[in-house]
Amino acid sequence: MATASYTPPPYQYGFADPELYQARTQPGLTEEVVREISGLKDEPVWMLEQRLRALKTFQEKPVPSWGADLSAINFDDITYFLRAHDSAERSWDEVPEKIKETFERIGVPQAEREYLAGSGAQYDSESVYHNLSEEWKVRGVIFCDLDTALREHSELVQRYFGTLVPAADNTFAALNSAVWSGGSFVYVPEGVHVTMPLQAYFRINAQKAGQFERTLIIVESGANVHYVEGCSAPSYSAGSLHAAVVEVFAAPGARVRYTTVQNWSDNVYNLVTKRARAQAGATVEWVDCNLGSCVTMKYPAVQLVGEGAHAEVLSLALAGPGQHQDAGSKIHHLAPNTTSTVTSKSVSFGGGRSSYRGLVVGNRASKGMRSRVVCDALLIDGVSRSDTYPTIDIAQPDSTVEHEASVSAIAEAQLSYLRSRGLTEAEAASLVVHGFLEPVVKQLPMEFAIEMNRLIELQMEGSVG
Amino acid sequence: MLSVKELQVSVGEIEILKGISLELPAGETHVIMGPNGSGKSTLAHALVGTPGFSVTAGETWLGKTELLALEPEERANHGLALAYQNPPAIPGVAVHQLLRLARQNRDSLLGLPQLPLGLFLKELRAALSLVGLPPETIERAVHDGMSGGERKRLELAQLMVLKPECIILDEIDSGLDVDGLRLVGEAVGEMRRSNPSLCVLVITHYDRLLEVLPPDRVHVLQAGHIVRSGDASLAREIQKHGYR
Amino acid sequence: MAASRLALPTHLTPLTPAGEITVGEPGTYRLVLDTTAPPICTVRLTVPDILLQIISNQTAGSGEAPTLFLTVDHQAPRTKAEVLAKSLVRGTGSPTFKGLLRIAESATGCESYLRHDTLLLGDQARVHSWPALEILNNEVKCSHSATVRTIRDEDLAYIRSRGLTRKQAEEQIITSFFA
Repeated sequence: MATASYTPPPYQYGFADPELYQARTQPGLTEEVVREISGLKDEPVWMLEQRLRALKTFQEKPVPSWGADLSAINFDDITYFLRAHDSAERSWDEVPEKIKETFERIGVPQAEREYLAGSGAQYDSESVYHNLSEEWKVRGVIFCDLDTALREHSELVQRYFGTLVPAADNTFAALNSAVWSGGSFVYVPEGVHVTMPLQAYFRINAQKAGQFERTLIIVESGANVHYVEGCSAPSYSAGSLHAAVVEVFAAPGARVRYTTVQNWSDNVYNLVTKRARAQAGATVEWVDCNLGSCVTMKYPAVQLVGEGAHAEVLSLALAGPGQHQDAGSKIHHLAPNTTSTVTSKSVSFGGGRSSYRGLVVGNRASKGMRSRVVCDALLIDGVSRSDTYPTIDIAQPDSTVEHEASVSAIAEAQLSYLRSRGLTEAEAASLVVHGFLEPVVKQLPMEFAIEMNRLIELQMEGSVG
Repeated sequence: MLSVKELQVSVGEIEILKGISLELPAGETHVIMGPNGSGKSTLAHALVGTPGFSVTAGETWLGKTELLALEPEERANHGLALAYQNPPAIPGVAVHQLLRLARQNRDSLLGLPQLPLGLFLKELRAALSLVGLPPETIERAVHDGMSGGERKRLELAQLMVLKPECIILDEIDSGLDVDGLRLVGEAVGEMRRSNPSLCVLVITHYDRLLEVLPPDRVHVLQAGHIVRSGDASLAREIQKHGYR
Repeated sequence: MAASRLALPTHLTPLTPAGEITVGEPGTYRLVLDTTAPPICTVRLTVPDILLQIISNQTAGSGEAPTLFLTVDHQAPRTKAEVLAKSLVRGTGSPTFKGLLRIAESATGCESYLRHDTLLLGDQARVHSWPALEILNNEVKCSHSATVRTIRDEDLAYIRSRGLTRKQAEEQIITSFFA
């Protein structure tokens, strides 16, 4: 019996599959650094202990090789805690022209440009969260950075922190659990409907501590919130390894939407573990837009643990020259009559590679589950790549599961039609791409959508014709 | 004036048009009739420059502009517009999005100032209304999920908004009922009112469209040649006796 | 029964199931894989103008866990392939179906389609389905779909109303599933 010429590794449950790893050298991260981080933040002892345990776990874990290529990450070379300070990373003159042009084209306010480009001063945490008005504070909504939450709401944080994504979950969760700094904390009490999106206006301390952000969102029964982070504008990061963790808890009947738009600079490895737990009747929506970084590995996950819970994932990826967007979703149906919908739209151009990696699981408890996944990929030229790796693991006969994917170039018929209306080839391609991504873009808050559309136009201009 | 001189067009290896000539003066309506496979649509696509239709000989002129030297979008900017027989859907792209951009490009070429958005939308809504489509159509994705009749009407509305010099209607009558046909006549009439020098080239099988678009000249295309030309009575004759 | 996406002629040259199959001549072919087929089957289309239909029918009874990892590797331009895969699972059966469609960078003008439909019968039936795509050329038509479902009472109602027992009705549905 002959063997296959290659065996693409099957996607497992997150970053944790021992058979598929390569060996790696000891990291430069030490216990002293972790103690220093914790000390500087004046953290409760329980957090320091958790960090140290996570450090040990990280030191024992190898780097995954089943996804994007992470072999170039040099762990010894990474500064694991960068103190926020006032001076800039680089002067405005050093910022590449292309970046400046992009800011101009997509209309980034002047005040933000220097910050995003890494040539402006830090904004501290307080000013970032100042937009939570009295109206919400009075009703018990908490929105602050996690460092502050740890000081002011320690017990609440301790109850949830690391319970959905423990350090042992995967290598990068372990790293994050050891050295996390910055990130948001959101708490919404029972029945409160927060009607305006909570937005971390800039990626706080983006160039520095932002690389190991930890976000915790707790939404009580019947409550409702939309959290938004990031922006379409190119965001410079001096730190090249981003290992963030996001944990979202949706109590019965709660509704949470978490929107992320990232456009990290091309030195960044963006490895994120995002997981939500939805109880009975709750709805969790992940809206995930990946525009930047050289490598992103991110699979927003939802555990549907209560009857009638619902998960929705909307994913958009733009993979340009030198980029690999490896994104997707993981849905675990663990209770009866749970439902999920996943929509993934990706565009690869200029040699970029976009991969969808997905998982839909149904077990004995998920009677009556329904799931529908649709992945559409657009390959703009013949040098780019698109992959789809969906795993469908169903151990529940009373289930309806559908998965569809398609890959194609921009249809010639559409291009020639649009040109016959007077659009140049580049305008036509840009319009088709815009229309292709529209189902996800229209779910973004308006300023994000506008910025995103301009950015897409700009990216497409370079790549067609 | 649309002028075609000894035009030869191939699709792949196959020669479809073997030397077509016609002169369509400003303000006139000419009709091309012919059996299936005679090359009628090929003529339309060769004029607008659809890829895959290669002109191997001949010339095409719109006024003083030589079309063959121009990219498809440039021909459109110069005022040539085709109402497609089978227009493709463009999912996620709203009617107003496409047309605003197209109109801006046309106005640019004409040296006209850009129409403010409000006025543009007003024109667009008026055009849609004339062809019997509701105003909400401006938000709908172009041809996406539309019936055959709706697509024909939308093609016409698009042509109206582009303020063309010469329009080609490629079997606009297929899929339209009596009311739809009447609207075609009204739409073309409206375009003529705002531009009396508009050239109209109608490609069709049947003569019922000609009741609402009375032709100045009828040409019969068969096996890649114009075999006969005449006035409106020629169309009636063909309808009665078929192509010979 | 889904219609074929490819315009198939009446005669298709049969291919013999094997772990490695190289199709090196233009033409139209069919490969049929059932549970006697090797668990790993890689089909390489190495010259232009190949049309290939692959049928895979898996049945897994109690305690059975058949596995098939099928790869269709389009290495040459204008090659077209369609995989129609079905899994029927009873009792505690637990089949695995992996179907990878790959189109190489130089393989322009290819078409590649896959569908995998699973029918789970019995409380403990399960399936692991992995339809995958690796596409490196953009002038392609490529899509796949996978579905998992069971037989519902509504599906049986019509047939039973014609006088068949539940078991007979189920058998009818299963027959039509594989048709």
